[in-house]
Amino acid sequence: MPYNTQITRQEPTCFLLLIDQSESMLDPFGVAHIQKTKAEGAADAVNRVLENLLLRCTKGPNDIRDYFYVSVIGYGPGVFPALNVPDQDPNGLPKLVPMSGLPDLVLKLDVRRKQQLDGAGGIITIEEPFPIYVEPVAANGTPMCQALQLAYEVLEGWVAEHPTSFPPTVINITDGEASDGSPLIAAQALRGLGTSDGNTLFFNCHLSANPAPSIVFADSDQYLVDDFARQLFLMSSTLPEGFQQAAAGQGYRVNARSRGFAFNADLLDLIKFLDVGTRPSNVGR
Amino acid sequence: MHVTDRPPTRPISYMRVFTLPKDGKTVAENEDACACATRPGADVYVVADGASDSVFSGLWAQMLAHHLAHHVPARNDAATWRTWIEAVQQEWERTVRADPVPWYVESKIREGAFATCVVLIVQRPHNGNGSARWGAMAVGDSCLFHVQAGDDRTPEASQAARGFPISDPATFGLNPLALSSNSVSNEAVWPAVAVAGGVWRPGDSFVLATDALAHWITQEIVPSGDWDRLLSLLHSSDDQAFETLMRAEWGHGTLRNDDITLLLVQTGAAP
Repeated sequence: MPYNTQITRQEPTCFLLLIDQSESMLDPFGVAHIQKTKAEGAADAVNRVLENLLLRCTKGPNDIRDYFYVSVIGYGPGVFPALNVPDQDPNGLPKLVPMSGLPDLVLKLDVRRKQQLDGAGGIITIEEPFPIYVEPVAANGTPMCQALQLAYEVLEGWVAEHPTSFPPTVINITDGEASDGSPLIAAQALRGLGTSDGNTLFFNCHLSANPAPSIVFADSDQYLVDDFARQLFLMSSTLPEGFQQAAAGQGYRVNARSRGFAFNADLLDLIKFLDVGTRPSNVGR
Repeated sequence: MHVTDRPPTRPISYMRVFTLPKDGKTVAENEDACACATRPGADVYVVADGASDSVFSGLWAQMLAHHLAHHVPARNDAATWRTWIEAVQQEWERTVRADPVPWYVESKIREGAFATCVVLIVQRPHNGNGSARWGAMAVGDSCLFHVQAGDDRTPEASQAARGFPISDPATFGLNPLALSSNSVSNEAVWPAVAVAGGVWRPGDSFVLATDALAHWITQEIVPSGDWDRLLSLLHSSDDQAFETLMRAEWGHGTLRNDDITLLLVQTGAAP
């Protein structure tokens, strides 16, 4: 069965986040209770994914396990590496950074307030540090095809160096319309890269001003709100069997046609079933 | 792990324990734990498995195992458990916060450490035939197996003959319930603590195992009844035979690559 290789320090996998930073991302986010622009939503989503990946690799104060390597590509005012990597050539290939290097790339630590149960039937508000790796940007057009081409070049090198690892995962966060051509061919080429364990997983997160209900793991474009969403759906990989089983086990409605496509949904849903070990079912309850 | 042999004058049970870190991890990174204790009237054995996704989970598993072995909760109800686990949680918090921690570790500490566990209590016999009761409790997918000596007993005679709390190989997964250093997360655990009990006779054995090995046992040992593959390890002079067996099974793909702990308990032979 593909997508079955255990993710370890000896055989890590990688995440490549593509973040739309075009001018249209200045529009408000369509989710009613979230008062932010799509650009803020996209940056927030990227920061949350990176925080989540780091937490999953953290075993202690000096013990961050390099199960994952990550990079972020911004596209809008150009196509460029978006992580604050010290020796990154702004015109060069974005470097894939190991998890142990991620804390050094924090631009600033925000403080987020969160409400949680106190174990005695009450609710308390706690303050938590929230790392900011990427700030909201919104300018110019949407060179998504160029971003996909750059992603291809980054992953071409990665899969050559890690031919037996769990395949790479690319997550594209966008409000939909490319300004440099149809991205379908570039997306197909990206999904054609792979390791012996399977092809690159290409997931898309569509941020929209449309207040339609959120969708995650769509299995059809039938109820999607517009052509941009339908195009992103077609570009998205179907879920590996292991993901399907894990998602179904946690109550998601999925089937063999379900794809890694989310509409105005929590980006973390797209990556939570990547297995790096036992995660008890009562975490965070 | 060290071997604890009971003095031969008045044994009710003795044990051997073996452990192996996941292939690719160091010995120090093994997040399994075990403990045993002798109480008046009973021997107690515990195996615990720290969740790899949580922080300081090996430490949490060790503390849980120690506290369970020496102070098993008197009753299986939520109120008793909440009070019982406070001491373990406080000890864990004091230890992990002994030095300042970076912001990303702080978030993980707040999320909590998690571990599954299984506890076996072997009571001393009070009657002439040497038999007595055993009791067990479990949270998650660390398991106990009761290997009954003699040909006159069927698997149905013991709640743990095919595995406790899990006997169906298909039930093992990567998301078990687990005891946590985070009180809120434990509220889902209290109603789900599994308990079992029965009668043991001299010559019976008990096998405690963390989940990957327990899963393997339900698939490879229980159907055939070939317990000697494991019980013969009671008499091995070192850990080599155990490690050879585990690495062979990893190589065959029949055993999931994970930390492995096997605790064998042998009750006294029939007079």
